[in-house]
Amino acid sequence: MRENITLMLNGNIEHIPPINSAVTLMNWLRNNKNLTGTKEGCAEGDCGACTVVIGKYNHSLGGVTWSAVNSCILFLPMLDGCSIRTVEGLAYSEDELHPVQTAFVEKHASQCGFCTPGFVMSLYAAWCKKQKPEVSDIDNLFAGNLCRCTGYLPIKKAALQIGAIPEEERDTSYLNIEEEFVIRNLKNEPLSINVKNEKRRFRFDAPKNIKMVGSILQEEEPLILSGATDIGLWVTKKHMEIGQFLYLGDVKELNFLNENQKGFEIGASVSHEVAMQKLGSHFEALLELWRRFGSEQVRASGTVVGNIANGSPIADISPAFIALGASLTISHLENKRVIPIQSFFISYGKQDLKKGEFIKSVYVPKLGKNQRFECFKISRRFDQDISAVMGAFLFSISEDGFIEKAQIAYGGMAAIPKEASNLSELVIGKELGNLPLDDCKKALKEDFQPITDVRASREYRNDVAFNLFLKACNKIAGEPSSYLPGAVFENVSGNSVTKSQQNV
Amino acid sequence: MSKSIVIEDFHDSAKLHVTGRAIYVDDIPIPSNCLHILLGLSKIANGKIMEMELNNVKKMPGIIDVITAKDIPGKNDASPIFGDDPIFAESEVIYNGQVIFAVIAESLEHAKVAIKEAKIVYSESPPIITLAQARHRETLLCPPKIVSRGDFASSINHSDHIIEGEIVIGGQEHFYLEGQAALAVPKENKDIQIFVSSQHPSEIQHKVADVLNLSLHNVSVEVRRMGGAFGGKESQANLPACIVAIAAQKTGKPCKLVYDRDDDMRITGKRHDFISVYKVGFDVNGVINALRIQHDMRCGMSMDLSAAIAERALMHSENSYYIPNVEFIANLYKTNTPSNTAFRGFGGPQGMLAMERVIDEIAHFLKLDPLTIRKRNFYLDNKNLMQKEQQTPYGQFVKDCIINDLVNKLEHSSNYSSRRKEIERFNETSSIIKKGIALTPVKFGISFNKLMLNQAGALVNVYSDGSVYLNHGGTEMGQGLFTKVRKIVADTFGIASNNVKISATDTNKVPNTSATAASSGTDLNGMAAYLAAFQIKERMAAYLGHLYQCESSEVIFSRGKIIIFEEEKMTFSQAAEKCWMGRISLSSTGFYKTPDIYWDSEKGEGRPFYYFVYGAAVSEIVIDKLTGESRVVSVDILHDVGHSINPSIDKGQIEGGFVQGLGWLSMEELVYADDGTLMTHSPATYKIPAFSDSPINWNVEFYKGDGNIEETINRSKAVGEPPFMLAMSVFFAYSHALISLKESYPSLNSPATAEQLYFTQF
Repeated sequence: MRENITLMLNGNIEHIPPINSAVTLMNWLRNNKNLTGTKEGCAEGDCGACTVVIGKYNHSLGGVTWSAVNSCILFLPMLDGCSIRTVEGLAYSEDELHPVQTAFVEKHASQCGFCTPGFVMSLYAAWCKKQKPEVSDIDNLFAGNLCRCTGYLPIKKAALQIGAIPEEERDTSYLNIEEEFVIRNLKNEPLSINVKNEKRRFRFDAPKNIKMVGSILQEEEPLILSGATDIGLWVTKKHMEIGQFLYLGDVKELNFLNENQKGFEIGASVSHEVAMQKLGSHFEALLELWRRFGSEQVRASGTVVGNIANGSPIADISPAFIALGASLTISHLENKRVIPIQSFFISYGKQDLKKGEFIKSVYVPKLGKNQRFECFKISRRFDQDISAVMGAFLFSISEDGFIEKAQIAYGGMAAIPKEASNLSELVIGKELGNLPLDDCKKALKEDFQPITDVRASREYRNDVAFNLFLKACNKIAGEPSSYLPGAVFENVSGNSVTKSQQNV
Repeated sequence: MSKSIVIEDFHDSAKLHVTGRAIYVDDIPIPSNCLHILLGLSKIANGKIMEMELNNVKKMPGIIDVITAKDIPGKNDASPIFGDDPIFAESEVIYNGQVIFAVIAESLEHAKVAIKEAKIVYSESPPIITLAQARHRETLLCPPKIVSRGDFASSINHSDHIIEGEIVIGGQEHFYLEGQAALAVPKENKDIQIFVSSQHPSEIQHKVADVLNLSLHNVSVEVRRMGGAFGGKESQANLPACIVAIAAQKTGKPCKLVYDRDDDMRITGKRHDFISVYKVGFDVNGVINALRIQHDMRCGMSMDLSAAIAERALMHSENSYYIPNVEFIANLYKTNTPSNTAFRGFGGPQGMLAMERVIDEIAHFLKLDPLTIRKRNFYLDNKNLMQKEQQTPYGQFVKDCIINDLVNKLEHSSNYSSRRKEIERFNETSSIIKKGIALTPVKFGISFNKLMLNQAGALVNVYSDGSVYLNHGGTEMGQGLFTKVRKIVADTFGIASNNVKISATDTNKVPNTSATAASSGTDLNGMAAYLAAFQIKERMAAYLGHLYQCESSEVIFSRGKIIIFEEEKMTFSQAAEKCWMGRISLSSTGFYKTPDIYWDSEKGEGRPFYYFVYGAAVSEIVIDKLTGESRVVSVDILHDVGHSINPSIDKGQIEGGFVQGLGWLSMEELVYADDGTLMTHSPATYKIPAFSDSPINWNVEFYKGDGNIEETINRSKAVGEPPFMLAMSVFFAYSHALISLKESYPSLNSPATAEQLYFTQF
């Protein structure tokens, strides 16, 4: 067991003696390393001003990957064995800036400059991933970075300037030493910080195998931690003092994503980013949902299983997976049980997980030949927003257009992500193009009695939930008016609004 | 590395921004004995504090002290004018989020743990949160503000048609990325130095002096830069500055306070929300004869700058239109919410939005294109004719009007008319997706309406090596003021911009300054800096002329050289050294005051504005009627900046202002619970435009004119606020789309969120 955190910061190896509280990466950078270029804009992962790039070994992909992450909601021990690059570590010297920095200067892409380090690092992450930003994907690249000054246009231009640099001209010398460091440190003993003083105790375990996970859970009652995209906020926002964490991010056996002919099995520490890449090509609608799930930063840290385990009524993955008929594998020492995902959600804040248990993986069956899946997210803002309503629809449709099977689920409509069982049942046997809409509306009203909150009114949720059902039916029926917000501008508009023609 | 030709100055801090080396208040290296402050906020909106138990907080580890109103040596007030913003609540609590006490600790972590031990017992009274509640209880902060002309009451009866209506206009959180921040460092003999993120260092100096019972010369205030401000750091920075000052004086140690995002949003004021009620009379052609607009404003719990904001709202309620009979009224309502404050446009946006709504509804009534109605009511473009069709309701003549020409040019360059027809055809056949387009104009008056604020000072030093040091009273909040003023000084000496060092705003260097606000930063400080540099240049020229036996006017400063009779005599550096050796003063202050302006607040009359800025935008949007979701597809802007000092910076202001306006009108929604809790207190719930919300197609052009008709620096025009209101075109494009969904006029309220758009169709 090892108590010192080892990481690489801007190319230099750091050994950090045991910390005694859940200090965030951002606070450590700012307060302990005087790297104040990393900014706090919100301390909740919504604004991206604290973005840094980390290199981490990804077992599911079998190599080191670099990602932009929100340092304000990552706990420092989670970075053990990782490389971190901050905005101060980009320039080659005081006068010789990194090309992504030069692009920001030359395109007048900073005004007040407070968000700028975060934007620079998001663009640098694309550089690390060998992406060449084009007009069509810049929105995604920067969805997690807010700027209040520029209106974003000059930042878009800066990204395009980087996109235009040929790959052979891209310097990746930073990555080589970081990769070497990360791989070398894979062999380290697992991290286990255990600090006690009179009043407080802080323990952080990062086991490397599943057996240890089980045994720690057997003895202790730690908080299970994966990406910290929610738990981070418990500390930064609710000011909770959490005494003990069990971090799953280093467990090789939980970082897998297997695909076979029937479906996908996603391990507990697989990030949204990885799942999106692997599942997105099979579930087109899911790809669009994932694109709007958080941001690059959130998807890189947050895990699919974490989104489910959290049990939130507004989690976006849960309703989609309920409709898809996913199941959870729950481990307890040597034992395991498999349950349909919907039965995991018992009531608000209560899930089917007993002491000593943890979710090992989620299984998502592939679509059958006659199956169609759609899902839609409605939120105040298109990107990086929590759903007011999220609807997911799986239909099995006969050759002559009748619905043979339906699984419809919603988020934001009840205290848990929940199947619309009345509606699902009602449509079975009905012709897709000729549904009894009034009855459908009634069935949905019986399924859900949503509340009014800061995101939407009850009335809006009721109306839109039904309209999303209509949308799904229309889309599956192949009516041309496809109106996914992401696609609408390419398909619907008559005059010059396709993204490729952007005037930047 | 990529290469590009530098044709204009980059932001003076751009290199620091992109490397993380730009220092904001929270980044200033602090001595190891620096203490950290966390605030205790009220959890109720209205009531009395019955009991306050803070001793348990004091006993916690790492806690140095807990301070309350009792610890203030001087006045318990952080207000800009009226003395009604307590720093700490005493016996009474007036809004949810009000500061009651401050924990001073060795670290923020200590403070966060300790603050949970505080116990406050309240006796709660029903709060007044909404405008409806305030109207019902008639909680007016002051007598209504009025701007009027002619006789509305009798003339409206001579109109062919009369329409009455109402628009609800939501508020807006500034959401500067850098929260409010202040650091106080005690110096010898009671002196104190304040580093703060503020648009108004002189006001901070005043407030801190009042709070600590000091003279102004004991307090120095420094502001290098802000991480965004937008009006939200004009008066709102007073409170944190006062608190760190009190704490530093009491403990004798440096003290720092940085609001976290949630505290910032709960404590600070925002853009005023309005309910604007209108009655308009017009003829068969849509020419307006009489108009009455009553703006009911939610001001929050104190005056702050609301009176001036109300006046600016009234002075922009006619936007670009000549209306013979006018009655504009503003009611300033007090509520138990944060005290609403300055925000880019300063009441202008709300006033103009109400006016444009009136136009939009007239057009719908007459079944005409709203642009037709707009054109029929514009002020005349004739320069300096002083016809009555050029006179505003408050008496000022619009001598520099170009709105007709500007709008015509934009109408053609954007293909507005054919696109509008195409959209209407599209809407006839598309059942779910609807499109809309609108062109809206902006006319915005430049100058503070308080006369005394229209002054500025600067200090320029030329050192004997020819390097130049510049200081002025304006503050840098990202708008590029420093870059522009540096260029003005560099041009005066004929040297490159990077030979001029621009330094942090400092009350010790340039005293008695105004807030950097009202878009006036460059007009005022640029001119003051020019005058300072010009005086030094004149002295240098006179001395060099004497040396070379020519007139001083024959000494040319160009490209870093001194040229006399077309011959390069020396570099600017050599000239500086020569002048120093010749005992010539190479330091000068400059002072500027805006000429020809006056304003009678009582009568609502005068010439409050030195000049006007004009612009117009065409926006095209698409909405989904099943969900109300929308997207801005295309935007064309034609905007007047006079002769630009830095075109890229000016474009940045236009684009940034537009998107901020778009946020205000489409997605940014402030929600207060019945008990006055701000429910939207972080970016999780308060949504400002993200990257993908900026328009898909976007053309921004400058209006090509003769420059400012007034003698501003370089004949340029102010650019900070006016572009914000170009986003009205988005709002009325929504309206256009909704018109295809219903028979009656779709009275859309702002912000046009998905839910708002969805329900307005019915």
